[in-house]
Amino acid sequence: MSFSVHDPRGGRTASAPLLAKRPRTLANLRIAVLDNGKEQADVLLARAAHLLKEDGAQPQFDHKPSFSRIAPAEVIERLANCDIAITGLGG
Amino acid sequence: MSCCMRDAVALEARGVPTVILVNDVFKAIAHATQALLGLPDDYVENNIVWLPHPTSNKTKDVLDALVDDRIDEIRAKLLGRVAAGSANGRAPAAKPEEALVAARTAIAGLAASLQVDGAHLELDALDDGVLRGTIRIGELTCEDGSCIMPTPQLARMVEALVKPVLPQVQAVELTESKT
Repeated sequence: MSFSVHDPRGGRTASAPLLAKRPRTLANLRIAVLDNGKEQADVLLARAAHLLKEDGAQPQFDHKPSFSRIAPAEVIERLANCDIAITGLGG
Repeated sequence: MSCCMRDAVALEARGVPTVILVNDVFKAIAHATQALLGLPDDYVENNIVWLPHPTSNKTKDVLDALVDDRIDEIRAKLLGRVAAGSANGRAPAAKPEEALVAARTAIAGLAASLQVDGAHLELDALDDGVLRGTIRIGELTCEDGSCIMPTPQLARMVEALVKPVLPQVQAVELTESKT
């Protein structure tokens, strides 16, 4: 009788992700506001969007169906036309 | 929490700089996710804005105020300019009036002991990292003044007491007056 033992530790299998170049100003930028659905995330993000709108940013709100899963590809696709983004809530 | 970071990374990969609001109890998970995803060592520091946990039981007014207090940090991180005082995952600086209350609390024991010897230590203002106060020397219990420490030394002691609770304090300036 033999056993197969799987290593549960995980590990990095892909190369380091690339981070986007930061803009010089927030004016006239489209800002993606991605609500992950956690309680009160909508309140926090709406306030941030409201304040950033005063800087000239234009919010585009979206949400994902479950905070315990990554955003579906179509959500990321919709928001990818924005210039900057804010998301939450990690809580 | 880690899903938020993965969403942010997905947006970054599409050319969209992304800032994440996260409750501060998840710092360890954030750093673990940073390592697991192969993100730069300063990713968490530069892209996450911390909120005091819990947020789910707070009123809208309180939540709005939490965001208001951090909006400069959010702006700075969206623009890739980490705000002073928010580096290394520390909590953002408290409002000046709150910070002054915290400073007064931190030196309460010292102030009480000085008062016994006839001196009154008061903290008056905190501006741009400089905590200013006054040591008013009244009728001391000792004739030669040796029962209270020299003002420069007292300032250093105030700084040592305050800095652990208010990292944004860079210097303490005490003005001496005799009453």
